[in-house]
Amino acid sequence: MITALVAVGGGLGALCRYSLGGWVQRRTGSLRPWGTTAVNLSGTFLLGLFVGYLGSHSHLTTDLSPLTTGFLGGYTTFSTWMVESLSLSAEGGRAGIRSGMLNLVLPTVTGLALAAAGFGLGTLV
Amino acid sequence: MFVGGIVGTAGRALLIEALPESAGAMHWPTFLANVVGAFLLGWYVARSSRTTHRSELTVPFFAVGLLGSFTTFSALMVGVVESAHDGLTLAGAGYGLVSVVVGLGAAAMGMGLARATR
Repeated sequence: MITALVAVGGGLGALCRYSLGGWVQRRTGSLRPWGTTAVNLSGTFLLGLFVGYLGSHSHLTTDLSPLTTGFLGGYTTFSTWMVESLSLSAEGGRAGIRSGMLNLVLPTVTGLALAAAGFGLGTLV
Repeated sequence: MFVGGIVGTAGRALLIEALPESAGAMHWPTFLANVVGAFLLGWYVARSSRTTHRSELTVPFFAVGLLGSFTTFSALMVGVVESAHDGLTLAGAGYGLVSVVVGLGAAAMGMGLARATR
């Protein structure tokens, strides 16, 4: 039963990724994949928040995996991030390699910072 | 897309149930889902970019829904932070780095395979 709820959460996450990511991408009008970046970073902050909260409130018995593993796991994506980084690098020359590298490094650094911020905040509340 | 997301997330959830959650800082279910998903998406994107009659349904189902949801960025980042919180900072950083390097390699291999087999 819980696996079914996790799966449905992931389906909803995919829909949110598509609509929010697409909206951000259109707003920026850029060739850089800002939509995926925005989705991944916002989802990472929220997951950090929940994991930090659950870790510091061990008396809680509610299983939040439909929200964490399901929705936030399905909302954020690793495969698209990898393929978009490779596609940027393949656009040619040093500029392509540089934007591909940037698309790997910036989300990683920001993602770790947001995960830590969410985690810390979740521990506090 | 919704159905693809359900299938992809169910696949990831089954991996989490089937495998031990983590060995030290290494989160095997997330790692495996990410690497396999990156390989398949690389293969799919390279294959469909050369297909003139790309299906109207397989992109939202397979690429956006299934593979997008099978893989996860948030669990990777939070996994690294959790390891640091548990005093395994270096091992956590290693897990993050290995995930990205192997994931890139897998996506590149998938793309290469799609180009070679056409």
